[in-house]
Amino acid sequence: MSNEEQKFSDEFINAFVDDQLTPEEKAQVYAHLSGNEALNRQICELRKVRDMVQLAYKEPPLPERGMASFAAAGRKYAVGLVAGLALVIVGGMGGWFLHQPRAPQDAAVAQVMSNPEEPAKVLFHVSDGNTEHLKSVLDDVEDLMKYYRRLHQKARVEVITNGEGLSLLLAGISPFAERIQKMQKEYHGLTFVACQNTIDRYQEELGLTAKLLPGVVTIDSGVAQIMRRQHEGWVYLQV
Amino acid sequence: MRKLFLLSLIALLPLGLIPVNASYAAGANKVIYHVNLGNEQATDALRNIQNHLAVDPTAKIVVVTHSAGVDFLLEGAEDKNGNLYSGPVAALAAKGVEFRVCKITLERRKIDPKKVIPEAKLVPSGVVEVTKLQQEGYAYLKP
Repeated sequence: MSNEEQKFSDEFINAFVDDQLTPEEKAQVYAHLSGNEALNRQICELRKVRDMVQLAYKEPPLPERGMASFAAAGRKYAVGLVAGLALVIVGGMGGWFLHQPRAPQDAAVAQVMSNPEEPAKVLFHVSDGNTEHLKSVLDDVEDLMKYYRRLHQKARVEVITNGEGLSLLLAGISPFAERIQKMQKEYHGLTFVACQNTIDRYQEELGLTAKLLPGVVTIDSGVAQIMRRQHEGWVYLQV
Repeated sequence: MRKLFLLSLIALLPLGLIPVNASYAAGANKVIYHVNLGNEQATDALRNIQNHLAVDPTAKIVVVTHSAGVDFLLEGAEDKNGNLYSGPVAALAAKGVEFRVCKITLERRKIDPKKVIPEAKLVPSGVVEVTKLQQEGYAYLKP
């Protein structure tokens, strides 16, 4: 514990992350950032949380909006009562009608899914670095690529590594460098992705400069990328 | 009055008037438990599912297994305390929980499909199964 860590309260650091400080206050934080690794990490973590929260709320929750507009619509009790009753009746009818076509709706969804023009989008999340485990992960990925090829189904598949899983994609460390290169050549829809946060952490904690295998893509944060992809309708598997 | 609106809204929820809630309700209690790491994870999964059903007995639960995750669904498989997995698996299956085993894994690991306990069903690929179920609106849980 250094004194420098004590200098800023949590509120102050949160305000910094949320960009709510005056330029002078910000300068104070920046001045301490260079020499204080713990503070650095604390801010990095807060930013990650902030990004995730923003992603999670990108689509505003619909039910609340609906409720607000209903509440604004009626001011008097009588109006409220009538509106409430009308809603129950309309709702009942709506519910009745909406329940009828369920089967055809599902059929339509199934059709969209099996449309070969619409690529399947699948995310594998790898955070374990055990060699035997990594081998079975690559087996799973390859089996899936083969499956889509057999069906003539277009597919985009991302293998996102963070934490210990990053070792899968490190040149000189990964036991599967050749296999990965082969898979990249064989399947164009397949991308191997490394988390920049993890790379930075390896550098800070172990003094290890990560050298990635050719063709590997880096993204800011594995966790944030997983959330983005799920928002975009990708299927998620933690392997 | 606010209360009244809330009440009328709540009354509407099961009727499917509010589309966002309708789709939520349709997928809310369909869940995949993904097991691919081995028996220790399977033990956690079985416990999670028992608790899950205690809270929501109507939940539609499908356990999809591949890689080392298939082991607990083979005849005679025991947990680390020497208890057979087939007991709790059969109990959950009786409550409607489905167990699915990846055929590719059996082929790759040269396991005779006859060794899979009768409560479990073979599927062509565990990964594809997880993918399909998510596309059908199943939530994904990794114990």
